[in-house]
Amino acid sequence: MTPKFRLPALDRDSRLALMVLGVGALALLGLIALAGESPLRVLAILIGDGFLTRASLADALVRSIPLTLTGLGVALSFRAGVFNIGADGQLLIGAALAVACAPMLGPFPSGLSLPLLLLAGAVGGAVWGGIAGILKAQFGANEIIATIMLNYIAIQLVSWLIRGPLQEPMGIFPRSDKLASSLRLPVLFDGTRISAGLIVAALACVAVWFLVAHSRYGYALTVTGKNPDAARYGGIRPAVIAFSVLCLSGGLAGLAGIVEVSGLHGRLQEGFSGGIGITAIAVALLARLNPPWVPVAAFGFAGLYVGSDAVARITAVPFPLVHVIEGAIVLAFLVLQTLPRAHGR
Amino acid sequence: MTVPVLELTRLTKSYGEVRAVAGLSLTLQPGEVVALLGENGAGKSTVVNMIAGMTRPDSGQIRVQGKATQFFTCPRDALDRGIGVVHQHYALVGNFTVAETLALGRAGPGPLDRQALHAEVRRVAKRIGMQIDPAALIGSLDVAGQQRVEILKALSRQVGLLVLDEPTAVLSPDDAARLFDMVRALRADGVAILMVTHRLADVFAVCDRAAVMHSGHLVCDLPVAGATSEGLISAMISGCTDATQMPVPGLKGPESVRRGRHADPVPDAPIRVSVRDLALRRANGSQAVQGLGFDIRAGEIMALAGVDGNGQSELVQCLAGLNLPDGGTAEICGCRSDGPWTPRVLRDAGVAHIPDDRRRHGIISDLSLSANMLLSHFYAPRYGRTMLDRARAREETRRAIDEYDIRTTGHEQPIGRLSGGNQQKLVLARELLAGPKVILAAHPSRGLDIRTIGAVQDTLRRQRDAGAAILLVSADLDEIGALADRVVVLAAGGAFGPVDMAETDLALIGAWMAGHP
Amino acid sequence: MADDPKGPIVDLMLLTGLLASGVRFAMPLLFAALGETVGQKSGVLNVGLEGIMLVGAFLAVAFSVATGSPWGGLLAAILGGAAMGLLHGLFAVRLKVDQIVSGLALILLGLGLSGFGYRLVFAGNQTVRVLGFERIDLGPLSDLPVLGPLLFSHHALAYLGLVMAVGLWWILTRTGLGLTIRAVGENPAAADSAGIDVDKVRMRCAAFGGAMAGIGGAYLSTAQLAGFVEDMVAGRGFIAIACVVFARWNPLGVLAVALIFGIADAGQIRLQPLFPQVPYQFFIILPYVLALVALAGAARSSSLPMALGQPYRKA
Repeated sequence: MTPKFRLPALDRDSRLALMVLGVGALALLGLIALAGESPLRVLAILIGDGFLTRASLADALVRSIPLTLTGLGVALSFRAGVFNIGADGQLLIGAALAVACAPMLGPFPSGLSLPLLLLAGAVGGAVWGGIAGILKAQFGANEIIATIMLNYIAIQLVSWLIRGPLQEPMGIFPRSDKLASSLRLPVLFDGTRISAGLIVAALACVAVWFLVAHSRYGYALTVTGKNPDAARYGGIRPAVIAFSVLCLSGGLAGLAGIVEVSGLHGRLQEGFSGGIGITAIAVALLARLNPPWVPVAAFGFAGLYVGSDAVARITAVPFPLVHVIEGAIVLAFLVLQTLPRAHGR
Repeated sequence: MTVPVLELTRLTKSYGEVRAVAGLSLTLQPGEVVALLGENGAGKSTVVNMIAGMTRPDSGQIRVQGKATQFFTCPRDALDRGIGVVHQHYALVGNFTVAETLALGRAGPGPLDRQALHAEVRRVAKRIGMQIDPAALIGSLDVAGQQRVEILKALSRQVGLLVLDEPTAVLSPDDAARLFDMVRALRADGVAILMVTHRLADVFAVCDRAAVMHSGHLVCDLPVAGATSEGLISAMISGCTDATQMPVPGLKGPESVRRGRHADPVPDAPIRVSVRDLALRRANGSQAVQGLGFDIRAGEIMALAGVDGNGQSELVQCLAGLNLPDGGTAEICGCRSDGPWTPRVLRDAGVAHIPDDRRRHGIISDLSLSANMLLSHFYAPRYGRTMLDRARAREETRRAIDEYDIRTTGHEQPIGRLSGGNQQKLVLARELLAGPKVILAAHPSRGLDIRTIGAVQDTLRRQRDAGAAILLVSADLDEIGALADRVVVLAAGGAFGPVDMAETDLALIGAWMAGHP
Repeated sequence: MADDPKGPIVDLMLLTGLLASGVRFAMPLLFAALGETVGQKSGVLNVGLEGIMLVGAFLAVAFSVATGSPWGGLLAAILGGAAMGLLHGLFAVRLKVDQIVSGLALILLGLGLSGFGYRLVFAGNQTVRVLGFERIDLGPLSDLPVLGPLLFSHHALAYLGLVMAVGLWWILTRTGLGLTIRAVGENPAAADSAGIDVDKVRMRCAAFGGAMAGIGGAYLSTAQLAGFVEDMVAGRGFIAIACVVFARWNPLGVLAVALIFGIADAGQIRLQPLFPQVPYQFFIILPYVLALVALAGAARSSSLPMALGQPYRKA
């Protein structure tokens, strides 16, 4: 008699979960078919034009820079059990503050002015995140709603700034003045748009990894996220953690904002970041909140976006399918995480 | 010959290696009040869970009203068979009224007829002579009031058997008397009642029979009229099967208590813990402890005895810096409760805390052993000035694994995978690493296997011998007998003692714990 | 402004107009918030309302064109919303994963599905006439000077919203169904021991919440405006959650709070010409700032369902 391994009680649900995954995948294919395209062809373009050409690789690298930075911030905050959904707003305010400070940085030597610009970006984002942090630490406000409300407020603030105080001298278009060339992150590889922001992102990744793995603060973060009661027992104050991690997380997003402006666009204009905040969440989740894996996940999603762009260009499949894929990836991830629970001890 | 309401035949239940209930057989006739006695860990709760349909027995039989049952698979089954249970922890919704609580699950989805519901409440309450306001909010009732609601809930369906689990544990004497009146009314009505308790006052006040459990076995089952309290206590403590006799010689007396002590404590050793007129509240606002006062000197173990729920966890949490006292003062190692009073401040002063709810407060299940090793002192200078010295933590963990014989695959293993005993060993290792002056040990051997219990107790004794002042919270008389130098008992809202172990014996402590002065 | 002899009457008209608009602007919020109230009362937290509203808005437009009637669109929005609510329930209640992450995934799905559908169906066809709901004309009642526009000239859906607010309050506080839902959200163990299937109740409440959010989206695209624009929901799904918290999980309170937000939303357009020196963006942020204030003021509420966000596992 072949030994049957005992299926634990959760199995009915994990079978259900796998079924849902299967149905979801079919539904995705169905959507593609609905657009009148062959799923295989779309998949081929997605991967081929997303990852496998020089141009698309370069493009993916470019997109992965802000994704990595915001993804690191989100990973930090989720690690502490704080759900920062406000990366979009923090990114905008960071960029805005930095651009506002740009004229003052002119007289500085170029080796100093660029780092100061980046610092201004980080400070702007940190302040924006800190507002939500105070609301949470002091009033117990739900940080998900708070950070999202701050997103919308940030969009309007920037919209006003680029039509008002920060507008370019010509006053025609809603956008800021071009940044001085000493304040631009140089392009790393000729012929591409990959800026030195890549280095910034890499450094940030190392720094965040170090913080999480080797510092007391990182330890306190992790413990608070896993078991707030044990954290209190260990002398950690969850409210302080919540506030500080929202500042840090916001700072990283703000840094992403100014890196985008300085490395890519050259000026502050409307919609330059395009809803990166929620993708950053998917990135952080897929990296299992582990800093070294964030750039990998970021690159993966960046490639997904590049590929989806190509698919939207070449076929009749609309671009927003990428969001469906993103959502499906997150859900699939959640489902897969339940399975070890079922088969475990 | 009347049909018994409940007939348990050779019920057995094990959790892993631990035999919680072993071959228990018990019968209840209608209109009979039976007390199920025993210490903590004797197996009473498991028996209740099996009767209530919350746990399946491994073997044995349950017959209700003469009919054998397929084991209850859920509480609904037991309810349907006429078994009502009032648990120790009430399952009530704070913002429901009494009437709504009874209606839950029974009224249909349609509009509620307030009048009819209130009338129903009064009808059921009248049956047992209970006074209750159907419109009262559960949240506004005190513990006794909530218990009354739970009894009403159990009675609102047709019940032949009512199980009361430690009903008087948190009641004042007046409320307990009212409870007994209700029990008598029910008995007159033909309902059988199984009262799980460890309090002798309950047994002699209202019960017809007393069944005593010890380590999972039923050691005696006799009419209350023929029992003596000393006999019952001795049965509870040592499993002696004849509860009508005086205690058998050889029961731990004053001489044998000394076995646990190396020498008389130094009389003028410094006082490390000082509590004066301390008052503490529970999380739900009720008073847990009042007017508590005692000292603990270096090099002694003070046992805080008593059944759970009498303020022990609140006291330990307070002394660990997690809560402030409601009234009175506490002083540990020079820190006063009216000054800075946080876990970190107290730890720096030399306080170690072994929490009773390990999974909730003491460990982080997903993290590795070495990560858990850091929890109490990760901010201490010995772990590096800027970087957190994880290598040092790993080294400490390795040494702890050796020294305490922790069964694990390595310091990287998530601590949640270890057995309870091994987890507790790591907690001990961690807390004792810094050479604490004061150790707050809350139920340190609860739920552990025999070998680990021995290891834990040895460790505590060694710490005491090295000069630590130890507060040991325990409900296990054996443990108290083996370790304590002095004892204070929390029961029935007040405290007995502190008293030197040399001047008392376990029987008296047991009686105090049972609320029996 | 020049001195206007008709001053007070014009002001009254402005006020009436503002309030009437406020009601209209409040409706999408109201439906979504009512649905979330029921869901949260049962212990299910759904932060993905924004995604469901988007899907509802799109489906309403698509099917109103397809069936030739806005009611067909409404039905599609209800079914689509319920389906998404069920999906959330499946993950949060049955599979017992993190409710917040599941809700975030719902936002992504909603964003993607609505955008995908919109571009697929309407791309290039900007001039498709969308059949929206007409405002009700109750004859002489609607022509009353002040009360007319204020009370008697709304869309049928608006009246439905008001009725639902009162109806849900009544159900939650006065019926056995309400007891069940509340017990499941406050103390699932108590509900379980009373024989209630906790997961089933929660699934149903999650589906209901999704359906209501779908109606909210439908209102946006077929009653308030006429057509679908990507990102037309503009954060209302999140403001709805703030409404629920601020109103302390009471449907009547939700009605009041939604009206306040609606008036703020309607007001910011009207306030702008009165303060020309202030940039218009500062008016647009009014509802969002209001939501922040609401969050800060109401956070430590004792009406919070105790088991909110926690999956129930039988011991």
